[in-house]
Amino acid sequence: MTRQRLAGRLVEAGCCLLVFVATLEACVRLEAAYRWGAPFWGAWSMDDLRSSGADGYFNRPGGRFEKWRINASGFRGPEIAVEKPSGVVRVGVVGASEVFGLYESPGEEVTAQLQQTLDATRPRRFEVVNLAAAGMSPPRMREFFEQRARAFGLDVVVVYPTPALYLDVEPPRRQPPVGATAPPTPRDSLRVLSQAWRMARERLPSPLQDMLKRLTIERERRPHGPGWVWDSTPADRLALFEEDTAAVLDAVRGSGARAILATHATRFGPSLDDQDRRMLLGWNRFYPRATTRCLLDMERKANGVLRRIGGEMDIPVTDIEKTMGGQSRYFADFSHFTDEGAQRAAGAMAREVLALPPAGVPARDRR
Amino acid sequence: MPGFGPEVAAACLLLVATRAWLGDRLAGPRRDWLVAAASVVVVASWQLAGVVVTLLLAGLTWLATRRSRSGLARLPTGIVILVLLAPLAVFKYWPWFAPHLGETWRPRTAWVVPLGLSFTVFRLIGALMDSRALRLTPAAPRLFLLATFFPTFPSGPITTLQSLRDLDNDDLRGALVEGGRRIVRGLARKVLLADPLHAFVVGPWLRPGVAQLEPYQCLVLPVLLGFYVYWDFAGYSDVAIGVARLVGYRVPENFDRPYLSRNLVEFWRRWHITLSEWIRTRLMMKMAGRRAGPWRLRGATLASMAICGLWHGAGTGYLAWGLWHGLGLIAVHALRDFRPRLEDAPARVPSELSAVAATATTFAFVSVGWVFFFFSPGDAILLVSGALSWRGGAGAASLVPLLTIGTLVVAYLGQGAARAVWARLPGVIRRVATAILLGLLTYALFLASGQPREFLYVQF
Repeated sequence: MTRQRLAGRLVEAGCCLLVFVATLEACVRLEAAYRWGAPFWGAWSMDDLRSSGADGYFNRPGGRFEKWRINASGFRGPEIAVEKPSGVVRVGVVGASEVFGLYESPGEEVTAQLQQTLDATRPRRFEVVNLAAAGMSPPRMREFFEQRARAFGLDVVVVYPTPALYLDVEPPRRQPPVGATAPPTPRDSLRVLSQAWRMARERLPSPLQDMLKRLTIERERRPHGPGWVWDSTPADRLALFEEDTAAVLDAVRGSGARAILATHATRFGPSLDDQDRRMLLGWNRFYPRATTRCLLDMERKANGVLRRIGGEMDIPVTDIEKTMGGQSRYFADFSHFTDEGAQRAAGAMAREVLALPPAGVPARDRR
Repeated sequence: MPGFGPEVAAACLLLVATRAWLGDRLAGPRRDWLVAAASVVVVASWQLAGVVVTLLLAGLTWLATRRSRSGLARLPTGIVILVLLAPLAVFKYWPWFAPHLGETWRPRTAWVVPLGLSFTVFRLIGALMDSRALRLTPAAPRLFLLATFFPTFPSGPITTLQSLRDLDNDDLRGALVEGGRRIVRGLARKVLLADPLHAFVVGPWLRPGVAQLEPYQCLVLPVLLGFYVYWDFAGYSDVAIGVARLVGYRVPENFDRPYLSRNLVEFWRRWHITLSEWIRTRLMMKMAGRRAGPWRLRGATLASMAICGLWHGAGTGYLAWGLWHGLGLIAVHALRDFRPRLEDAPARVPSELSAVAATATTFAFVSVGWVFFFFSPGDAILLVSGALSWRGGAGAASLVPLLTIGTLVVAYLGQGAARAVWARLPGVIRRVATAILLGLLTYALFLASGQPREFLYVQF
């Protein structure tokens, strides 16, 4: 074969490869357009949902990706009027990704199901707002209630804090000053790569997935000494969790709303099966500084703290942990709900909202 | 469950590598044993019960086909066939039949039907009948390979001792190219035609229930179901044939453009060829006898088609489908008997037009049959009455049936032209088109959000 002919063959093979990749990319884009109404051209990624805080909040108003839609006020869910409609009790639920909703079908996340449950009891009396954002820690919640919440006229706020965030390498802290970090700008990119990566992760055999998770955890731990890893709950982090949660509750009260505190639920009951252990390992990957034993210990102790704070601050506590009973069918992973789990959590929250004494609702609704 | 997944890919890789390494040293019984062993592993990874029952039945058949004067070899063929049919009766038909006898007979737990049981039983009965008729003892490795061969195990083609043929090891490259092409064609039929048809049309239409269908949907649905089952099953058969070639065997074809048939007899020579061949030679001809009169032949036709229907599953729908085709075949034979008298009459209709009319009539008859195949008798009646109440109308009510007929006409007229055009295209265009096809396939198999549906015939 002459050099010229070989070059011709290579160019042809390259063109065919290009056509192959272009076909894949077009298919991925068409599917997103068909399933989610995504634009064929332009940015389409999770980044469109997030803001690094230029507006003091995690969610990007108007952002959308797949089943998630952020309204103009920066909350997941339908548009709401900033000014509360008269005669309506506005109920906010604040938390991290568990409340924001990850795995539930569209319209089946905790807040949507809370709205349905309350509507079934007292139609058109309640308006539920999803105040959560992925990774929202108590300091960020506090910031929201101190800076933005009053404008929305929230009457009741259910606080669902995530204790595990306090096992991160650095403890959660308040938002850096406004404008300190530029929000990420979503850009158009080769979507087939992210789709291929996601599918590969989903379809890898479980033992291989576990091995990769272990390697990730080990890689995070390696540069640090053996004392870096916690085998039980670090007292200072638990104390910080307590302090921050109490501050959130104060901020909620300060915003004029009544608070309901919720304990944090996971899929892990008294005994663990293989699937639980796999999920626990997956959870551990996000908190390499803690062992799996530490993660479970932190959950147990933090829920004890939440129950105590509720008693001390005279705030009703909805015991989501007990409601879920560590049953795996309520969870799609370690702590994020399935549709059924979200329904159960929403039911427990609804009972507490409806049980609030009349002071919790506007005067005209006390009848 | 079987879906030509990683376990099949691993087995193919292993067997192809062994063929390449050992060349001619891997031939005959040695290769049969190796492929049978690999098949047992693959089938066991799908379902352990399937492989256990298959090995037991294969062992029984082997004993019954030996030329010895003792044991099972002395049992009459009919008795051995009944023994081979017993698992089919126990696992497949008893759970359906028992509740009709009363509550006490209802199975307490859900039964696991061994995978590929209907196909296995027919393969082994075929081997038994052939070996007894020809007075031959099949080699044990070949018989066990016939029973367990993983490419054809879940849903055929139904191979026989004669139709499962070796391919030479010296043309490994040719077998890989040919096998690869068949696999791509089969997967394309499955994931680019059958699955989207189900996902975007058939599934959404049927979700609210048959009673909710519009008349135009009732009219078009049997046609769509016909294409869905064809693309799905022919796609499966292509993949099975392709995989078999990769591992060194040639298995018989199962489809030959059946919807172009001009009558029902021709249709059954082109549709699920290995099953219809089996039914015709091992069932109908045995029932009819050598010098059967017309009524006995008709009876045998009807009975064997009823059995063909029930072979697909225990249910009145399958039985009705079989009887529908049986009656159709009897009608075709009756028409043939009547035809000589017609042929004396002067020709009034051009032969091409009559061919089109014959194809359209056969297609319509077969399409109506799918209603019985897919639906319960109650739903089938609803669907047929819905179709009969169609009177056209605005929008989709006229557009969808017209579009369907238009597509069928274009497909009929363009069937030969498409191949000719493809053959005349410059090489570079064909390669680009192939890259697009492979892109679409890769997307549908590995990147699309929904998993590909399981092959339809795996359930039989």
